[in-house]
Amino acid sequence: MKQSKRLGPISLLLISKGPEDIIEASTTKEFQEFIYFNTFKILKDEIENNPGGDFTIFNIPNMGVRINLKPNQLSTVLEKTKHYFENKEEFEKCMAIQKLIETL
Amino acid sequence: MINPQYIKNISLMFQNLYGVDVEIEDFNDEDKDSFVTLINSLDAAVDIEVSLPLPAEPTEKDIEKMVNGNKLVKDLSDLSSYLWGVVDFLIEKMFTPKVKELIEWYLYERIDEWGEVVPYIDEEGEEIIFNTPDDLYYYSRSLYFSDK
Repeated sequence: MKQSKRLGPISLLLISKGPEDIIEASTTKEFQEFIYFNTFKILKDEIENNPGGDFTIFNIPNMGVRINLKPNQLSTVLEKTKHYFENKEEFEKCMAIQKLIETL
Repeated sequence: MINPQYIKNISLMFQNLYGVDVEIEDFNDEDKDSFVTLINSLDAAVDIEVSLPLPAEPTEKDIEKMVNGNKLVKDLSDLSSYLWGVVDFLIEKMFTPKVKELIEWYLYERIDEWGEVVPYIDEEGEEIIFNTPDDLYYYSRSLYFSDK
């Protein structure tokens, strides 16, 4: 039997000097690239291999929390991710995301 | 449970990025509870130790005994120095040298002589305030994972 290797949640280390720094850190280009790129990767894998269930998209081990998404949130998240790549003019990724949206 | 302000800000961060309210699942209560218990116990031990009178100077007779190869135990500081050595060793094994240094700072230097909380200065020269062992826990986890 063929077993597909699932990507699983991505570990995200949020190093902050206090809760207020978290919002600020999330506005940096590097952080947004990390989040949206991995969001695209994980959602693609999730939709293709395990459609329909709740799942963890990120682990934040140093805070001891997981970020979970529900199936009815995926299209909004994908639209946001597509919008990010449209602004960066990465149209191949946009097309791939649009295909995923259509399969939902 | 993680500091509610962290939960709120992580939630806000993902709301900005994703446009939805993500679920934030806390999986780490047990680690934090153990850490906080450890720090509170060490803190209480340090408080007791610093409130004890200083050991008396050895007398001529004591010195004579030591010269003759006898162990001189005049008070509990002789015992506690060994025990603190064990604690240091175990903490470094459990965490990392940087976390051990931070815990030592928290126990001995966080409160100044007027009873005020002193900011910790990190490697980049930034000030961080640890009001509770919970604050120390979250920062220590960051250090731990960035060291590993």
